[in-house]
Amino acid sequence: MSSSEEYRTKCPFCSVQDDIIIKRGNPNSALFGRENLFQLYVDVKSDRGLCPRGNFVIELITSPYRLRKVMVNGKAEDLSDAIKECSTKLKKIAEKRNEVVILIGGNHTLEEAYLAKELAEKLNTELIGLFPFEDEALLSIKNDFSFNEISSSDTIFTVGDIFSHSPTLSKLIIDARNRERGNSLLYLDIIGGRISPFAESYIIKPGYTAYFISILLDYINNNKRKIELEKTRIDVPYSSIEEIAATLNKSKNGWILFSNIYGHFKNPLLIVSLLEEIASVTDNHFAVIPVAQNSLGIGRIIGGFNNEKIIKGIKNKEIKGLISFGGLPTEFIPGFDDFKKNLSFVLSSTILRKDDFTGYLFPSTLSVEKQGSIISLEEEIVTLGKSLSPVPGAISDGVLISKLIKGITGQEVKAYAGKVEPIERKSIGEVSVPISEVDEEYPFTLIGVGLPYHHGSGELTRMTNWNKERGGPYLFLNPSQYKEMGFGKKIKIVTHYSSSLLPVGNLSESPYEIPEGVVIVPTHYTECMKLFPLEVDSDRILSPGAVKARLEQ
Amino acid sequence: MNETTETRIVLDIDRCISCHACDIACYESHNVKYNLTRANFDITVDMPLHCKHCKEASCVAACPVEALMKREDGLVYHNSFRCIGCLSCTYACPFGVLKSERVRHIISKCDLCYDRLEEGREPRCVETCTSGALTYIPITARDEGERIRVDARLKAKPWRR
Repeated sequence: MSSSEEYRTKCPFCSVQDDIIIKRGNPNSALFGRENLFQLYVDVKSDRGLCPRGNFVIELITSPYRLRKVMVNGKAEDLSDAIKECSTKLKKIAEKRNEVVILIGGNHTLEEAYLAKELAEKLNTELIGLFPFEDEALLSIKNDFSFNEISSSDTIFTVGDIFSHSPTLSKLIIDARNRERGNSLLYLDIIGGRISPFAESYIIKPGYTAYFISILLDYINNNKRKIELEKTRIDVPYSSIEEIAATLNKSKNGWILFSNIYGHFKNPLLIVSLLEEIASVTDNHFAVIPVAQNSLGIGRIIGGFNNEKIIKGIKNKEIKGLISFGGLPTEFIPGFDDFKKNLSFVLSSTILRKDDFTGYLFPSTLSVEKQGSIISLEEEIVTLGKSLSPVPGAISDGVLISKLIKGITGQEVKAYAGKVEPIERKSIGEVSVPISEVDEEYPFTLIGVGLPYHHGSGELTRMTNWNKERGGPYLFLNPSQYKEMGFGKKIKIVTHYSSSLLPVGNLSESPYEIPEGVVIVPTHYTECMKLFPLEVDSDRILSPGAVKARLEQ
Repeated sequence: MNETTETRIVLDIDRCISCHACDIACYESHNVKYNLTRANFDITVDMPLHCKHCKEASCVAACPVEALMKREDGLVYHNSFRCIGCLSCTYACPFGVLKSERVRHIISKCDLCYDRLEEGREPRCVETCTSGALTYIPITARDEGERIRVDARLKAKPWRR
């Protein structure tokens, strides 16, 4: 009779990769209850706690909604038959160059990323992309991050609400802020976030972040442009540039951090480039905090900034086959339902059931159910640790890819992990002044945010009991403006791209400061994501900033 | 001198980032059941409210069926098999941390994760707290005056942020 087992592993949900311990009680115990349940503990190695998403890990491992069979257009099918069918179809499509695309989620191991790249070669395609899309902008950065040093820094300048996206970094940042009188925590964003009450906040107009940072860089480089920020409608005075520059210049061990979420910052590629330069000029560290656990590693292995080509190809009917590992395309590609008819073959792997999915759906595993290596925020290759056995029927994406390669070529491939370096940056163009026009038809500005207790995929969020009870999706807006408008509990939000009827969320759970004229939605949900466009024309990164919107009762 | 020491969950309201990690950790480790109340008074106040496990617990005194009892280790323990859901304790509690369960219609309250305490660990909400706002620390009061002051800190109004 087996006794309880302990698994030391990494939290699967974000790039901070907190150490966790999953204890499994004795599954053969005759006693019912706690004796044979899974328990979750925060590993003492990690002094950072565990964020709300991490706390759902046991529920997701044991979820009754776990997919345990291969589904083809909603009907169960044998794994080997499905692999055979997929291989035959893929071989046919792959006769022409770049007719199959592969999208791989950031929660995979390095070994799986190498295998996915190998599969792309076999399928005669160079179109392999990373999701979440907002992480693509970070791939050219060599991350200069240190968990130990950040809590002893004297200045932290964060762009984006790091406390909402990666809450377990909050302890280190608050410790640094409180360590000594005179230490600074500066926060730049387009709405006030969870970090606002702890920081000197600079809340600027949505879409203007890159422009604001470019002025800051010029100021630091002594190229002081005499710009009256008040007149550019950025919503902060010019003195804020002087304050930030002075703080960064005087810091001896300062950090600049960037954290983004879909639909939040416009021009993220430009923003990270400018921030990196500011860090270099002012002799501070610069680090990016991706959304997904191993985005940096995956993105660097697959290489290139291909997402724009992939999405355009699908929309323009140039692509015949889509493979997505680790997430449903309906969940992370806005408006996917509108153009999935352009595709003759869709294969996806996911961990939870989706009965109405059209195409091949393979049951996948969480990262705590697989072994392998990932890249930490500190740029080290770390192993995931001891893995739980996958739920019956589920296979890791690495195994799935190997089977597909074998089906296509008849050859066995071996997974490996090697050194990964940041990829070459693509040209970012000039910083231009954003054009701001008052649109009477769409007077509101819509912004995407990340709430800490929702998963990156609405699919996961909807399946956890806690989130089911809380409901969602919802929208938030300035409380006094909402009161003035006199709208009911549900508001229809209309953009140029789509519309959604959403309830107004509990304002106490929203980020703290929402300027008037701004509406925010958690972009994890399909209903919210479809309100945003798929691409932006300025820097070709799929994380648009502000979107014009109107509200209807 | 009448020195007493009790280990309690203390919230540092200057560190809480309202991430709900404690909320969810409690919910998940108590078999999807809410034992933790939240203070939601204004748009800037959203933080956990724990049972204070009062020395002279008015909820214990108010319970007509002895479903609530004060244990020797200081824990105010709720026996769900005895509870009849009369909600007397919810009216008696001066902090409003007791509430009714939606399904079973009996009350739910913080049990300090006593099973974890027996393993030498901290309550789940404290272990998971991302910002270090929640701590599980011994509080020693040397006399009644100090006890009142310590109690006042523990019972600090959330809007004093």
